[in-house]
Amino acid sequence: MNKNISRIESVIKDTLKINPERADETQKFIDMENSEKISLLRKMIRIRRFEEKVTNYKLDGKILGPVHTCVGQEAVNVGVCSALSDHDYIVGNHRSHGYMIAKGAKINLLMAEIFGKSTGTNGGKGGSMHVSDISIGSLGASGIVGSGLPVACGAAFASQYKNDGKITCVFFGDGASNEGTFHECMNLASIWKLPIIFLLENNGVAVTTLLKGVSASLDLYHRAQSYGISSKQIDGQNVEEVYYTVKSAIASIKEGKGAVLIEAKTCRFHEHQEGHAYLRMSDVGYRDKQEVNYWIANKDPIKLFSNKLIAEDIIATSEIEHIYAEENHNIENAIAYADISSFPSNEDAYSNVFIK
Amino acid sequence: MKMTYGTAIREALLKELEDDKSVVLFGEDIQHNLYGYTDNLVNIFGKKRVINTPLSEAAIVGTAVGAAMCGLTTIVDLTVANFLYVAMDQIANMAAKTNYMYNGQFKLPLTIMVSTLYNSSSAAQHSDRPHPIFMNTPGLKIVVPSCPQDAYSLLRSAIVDENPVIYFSDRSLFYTKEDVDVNCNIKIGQASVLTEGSDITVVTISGCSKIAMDLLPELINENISAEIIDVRSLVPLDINTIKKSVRKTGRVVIADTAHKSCSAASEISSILAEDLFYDLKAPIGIVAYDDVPVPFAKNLELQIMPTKEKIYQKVVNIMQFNK
Ligand SMILES: Cc1ncc(C[n+]2csc(CCOP(=O)(O)OP(=O)(O)O)c2C)c(N)n1
Repeated sequence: MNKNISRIESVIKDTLKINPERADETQKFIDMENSEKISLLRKMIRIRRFEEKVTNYKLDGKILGPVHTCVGQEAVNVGVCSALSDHDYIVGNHRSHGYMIAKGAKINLLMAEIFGKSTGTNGGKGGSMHVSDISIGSLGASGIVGSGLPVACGAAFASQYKNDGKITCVFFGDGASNEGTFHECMNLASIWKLPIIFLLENNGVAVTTLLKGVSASLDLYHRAQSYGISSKQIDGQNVEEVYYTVKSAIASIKEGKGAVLIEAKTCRFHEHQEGHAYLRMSDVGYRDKQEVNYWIANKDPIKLFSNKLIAEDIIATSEIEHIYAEENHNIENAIAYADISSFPSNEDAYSNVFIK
Repeated sequence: MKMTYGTAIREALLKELEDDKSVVLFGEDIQHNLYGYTDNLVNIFGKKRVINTPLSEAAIVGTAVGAAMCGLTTIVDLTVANFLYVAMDQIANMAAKTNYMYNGQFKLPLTIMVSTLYNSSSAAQHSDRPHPIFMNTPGLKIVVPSCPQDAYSLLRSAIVDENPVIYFSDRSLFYTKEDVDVNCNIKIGQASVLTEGSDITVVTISGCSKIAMDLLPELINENISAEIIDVRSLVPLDINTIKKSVRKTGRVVIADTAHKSCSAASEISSILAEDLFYDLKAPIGIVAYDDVPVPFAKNLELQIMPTKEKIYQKVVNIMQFNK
């Protein structure tokens, strides 16, 4: 038993080998307000509750089609989007609920979209993988792995061209880092010094394919070096570290130093998608279940941050319980809203193929 | 002003770059273009707006998509039509679906320019005319200009359009020359009746228009009164103009530069068969590339491609058909 735990701990250490540069970053911004820290915690709780509901409704058959949740990865979404300003752009991928909520999306509209309703962010034409809302700076989410990176480069190009001061952040996984677009875009962003953050959520697995089977190096941030892009590897379970690193990246971009790659090491607590077919995959042995359980027990970003805030006397346990209650309530409302909303009318199938 | 098809493209780019500072032009070798259609633009507008790109077709098309979503008007020159395939995901999954998937939250004023290089001994990988592939990708407009005036006016319309447009120029027409009215506005989606006639409708796509027009004296000689209609754009397709003509003539030949299977010609044919069955006096005739990759040897390409002789023969056959 003990032997097993120490083996897992060494595995974790390997997967979460921390880049020494990162320590300095956190020191630069020690002035986060307590209220802001609590807001980070609240957003993570909101996402977790949202995703848990979505998980259940998918199992019940109330939600159709592919649904990817970000349970376990909330600190990345929240740390990044809280560091960005409202007008900054984000471009997402198939696992798209978390950063939308973190960037301030209305969860009623988000849930309605996931239910395929006319009141959804995309009028029911996008669904879970494509939730998008330009009013919060979201430039869409693409379900084709790696395809958001070029679009993000374009947004960053437009900002540079117009000199509007906006930053673009594109989210993608370790799987996407093996797509050609990753390499094309790193090169492009580097030569054009685009104001863009490449946010690589390295959860070590793409569906059932472990990174270690498909990449010679588990440290993907090294890849940025050959393109002349500065990069960092960070603990994606530590929301403050994510936040500070992104703040620092933004500062560097605003100094004109160009694109940044941030590799956040994290863990996907659920299966690749929700639903019965994917639940089955948790028993086929493509990844070490004990390792995942270790992450869930010891590296849950919400637990880690709750404990830290309690230890620092920033929040009391009862207040955290209160946040949970409020967010539960908000999510219940979102479900009710999605539920009573109507489906799009059949004629809507023909609208917006082209803009008139 | 007299200009060649190639010059017309340059003049349209120049005008749009001049008119609107949010227009940017990306492309491979765009600052020193081999065929002259971007001559001097970089000196006039600078490297910030006439942008040489790395050979990263997916990244470039995607960049143009993203920049268009964020308020710029983007033009990408991918040069040869075959290179579209390298950027296929960004074209078919991103550009084509952005309006629809996000339910109209964004505008997408994007123009992708390519040239088709058939009948030029360019062999299989540099000779494609892949417009039908994109007709089967809802969300993209497709223009296929066949003369300098259309090249000019349709390019300007494509650039200002708030939807993604693929602009197929035809390299076989690059040095054709005619008077171009720079104030003539042609909306995308309007076919052009090149010549009126009463016996048979000849619908032409891209370079086939010129071939058909060259054939006109021979048809007149044979006492065949042909109505030649150049589609000018495939999406949207001005099917009403075609139908009106076929209702009148009852006979139709469609000439397409694409390979025959699932071509623009076969699509037009299918619409006519569905909608005008009782108006047709004869089967619908199609002349297109045979369904083989384009061979290098000159005689082999002539063997498989639509030629003057093949269109002539098809027209005569359809004219001779009696129910
Ligand atoms: C181009 C492409 N190939 C394959 C897929 C199927 N697919 C969807 S998500 C996914 C895994 C992506 O892994 P990663 O980028 O690491 O993101 P994660 O799911 O771990 O968040 C795959 C293979 C796809 N959607 N697009």
